[in-house]
Amino acid sequence: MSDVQNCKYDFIAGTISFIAGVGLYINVQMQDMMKFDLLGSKFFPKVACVGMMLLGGILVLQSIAKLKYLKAEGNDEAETKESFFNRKKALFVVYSVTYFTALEFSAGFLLMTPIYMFLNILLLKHGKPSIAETLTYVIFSIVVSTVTHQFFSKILYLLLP
Amino acid sequence: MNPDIIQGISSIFAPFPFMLMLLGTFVGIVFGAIPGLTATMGIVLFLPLTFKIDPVSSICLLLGIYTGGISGGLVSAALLRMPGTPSSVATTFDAYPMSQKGEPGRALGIGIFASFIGGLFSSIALIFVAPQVAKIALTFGNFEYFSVSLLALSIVIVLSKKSMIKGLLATFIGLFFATVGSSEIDMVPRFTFGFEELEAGFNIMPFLIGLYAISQIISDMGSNNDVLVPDVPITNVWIGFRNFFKGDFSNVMQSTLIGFFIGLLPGIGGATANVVSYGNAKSHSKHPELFGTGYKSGIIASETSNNAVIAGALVPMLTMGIPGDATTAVLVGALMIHGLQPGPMLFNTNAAFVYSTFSAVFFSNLAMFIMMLVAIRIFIKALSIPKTYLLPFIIVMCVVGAYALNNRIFDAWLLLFFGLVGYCLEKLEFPMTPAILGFVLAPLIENNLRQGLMSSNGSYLPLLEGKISLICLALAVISLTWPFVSGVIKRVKNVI
Repeated sequence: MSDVQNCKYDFIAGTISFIAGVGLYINVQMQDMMKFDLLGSKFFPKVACVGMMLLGGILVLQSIAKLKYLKAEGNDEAETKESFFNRKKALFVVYSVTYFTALEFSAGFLLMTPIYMFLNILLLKHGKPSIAETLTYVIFSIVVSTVTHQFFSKILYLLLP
Repeated sequence: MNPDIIQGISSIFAPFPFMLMLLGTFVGIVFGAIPGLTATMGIVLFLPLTFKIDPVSSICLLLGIYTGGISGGLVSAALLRMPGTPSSVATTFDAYPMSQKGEPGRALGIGIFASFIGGLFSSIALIFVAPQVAKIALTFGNFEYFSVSLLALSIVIVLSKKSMIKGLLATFIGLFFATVGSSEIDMVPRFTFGFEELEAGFNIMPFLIGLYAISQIISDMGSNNDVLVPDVPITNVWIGFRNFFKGDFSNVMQSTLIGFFIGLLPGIGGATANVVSYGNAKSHSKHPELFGTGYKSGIIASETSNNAVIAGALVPMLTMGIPGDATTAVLVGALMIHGLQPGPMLFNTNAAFVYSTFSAVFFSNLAMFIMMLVAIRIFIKALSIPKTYLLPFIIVMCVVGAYALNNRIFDAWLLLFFGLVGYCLEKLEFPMTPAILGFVLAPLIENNLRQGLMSSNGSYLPLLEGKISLICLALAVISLTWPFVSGVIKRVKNVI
């Protein structure tokens, strides 16, 4: 990652942290809590929020100062950009959300898991798989899902969705 | 002999725990050998398997993975110049050049012997040191626990590699996640936002699996997953104990001590131990110029110390319930799932279990030694497992692990959430260990301070009156302020 990109990421991370700290502090401040001891239940959440706020703020200021310095040095347009989140990563999140939603609505582990596994294999595979490879992936997904389900439910007696 | 010792040792030789120890060691070596997969990840993934089995079998499996995982890093370090785990970085300095010289078997052999001896000596040290530390820890009150936990956290923050601000911020993020849910003292709900599921707080399982495993999988999506298969004949792995110790006895002892004591300190771990030990061996060697050229002493220093860290790291975990790194944090979680609270009382209430743990460290080390000598070719083959098969399987295991603890899909959602949080933290170069230790240590810090204040009628004086708490607090303040102070001193020196 380039220095400029690094600074930009730090700026964003600091801003998010600062805003989250402020928002959460207001949330905990608005909540009515009884106080059984000197500190009370609000104290540590407040410490966490103030820490996030303060350090987020410092990170923002640090990144601004660094960016200014890099611009003055003429390094602002250097190096290639590296994407933070590519298409495959986004698809993984979409597949996961779909999979968990399906499980939530009782679609069943045995039905949904092979599909989820197969889609993830395709995401990880470089280039287009051949028909033989696709068939292998399908069999692998079904076998692994079934064995996992049987192992956890029949041997370890853990309930799966 | 104490009946607890006999019971503890004999219980790991029952067929089931023993088999799990062997399985754990095997899996651990495979995880350690494959770059990108770590011992911590292996433990996290196999944790769900332990939910329904007894605590002794569970600890045998998990410590087997831990020992195997640290040792397995040697394989890719020696053959590919890629440390399988961060604990094997210094191994690459000499093991790889030795392999390139046509002696990969010897490089692996020295590494295997060194791992075994380091693990063996440190597990013996664990047996003697841990009960003594536990005796001291028995005298600890709330304020002592508060200050020791705070010290552990401060050391981890200071050791944040790139930026201390990011280390601190990661700690506060971990602290925030730990405060979600009902407070343990008065059951007041915090940050639940109307979600009933959040009232019990975030479970450690989805938190750890998400942060460690799912974030790694997200990182691997779209990256180059081509496997690297080393094409070298492996012969002469057995080098013999006499050859191993010849000219390196003092190196072995020093590296074991360095590893063990670094393991005792929070947050440092094998990644630092192997480099420190390598530097120490080089500075004390008669032939420092040979280091980095495929020299036996270099491999010994690195591999002995990283395995010695394991037993060292277990001391604060078992005696005080304070994990020093991410792996021991997972082990604390595993013990708690089984209803065991690590700490000095464990030595009184479950002494047999403690001795089983000591024995498991010792014998999983022996198992690692035999397995790596006999089946080194199998572990080299592990490097060629395509990630297209491995990662989807790991994802499913993660989902099962998160779901099975409470039988609710909500934990699977948390898994994805923490996976994304972990991915962002990693991408933004935030250190992960402070976030994890912040999450694990926050309840200890909060509850002990609040309980301590309740028992002292709101007075902070006992915090400064107790020697241990005062020393720990002073050390915490020094460790947190030292980077700034040393920076100022440097600037002043430069000006002068």
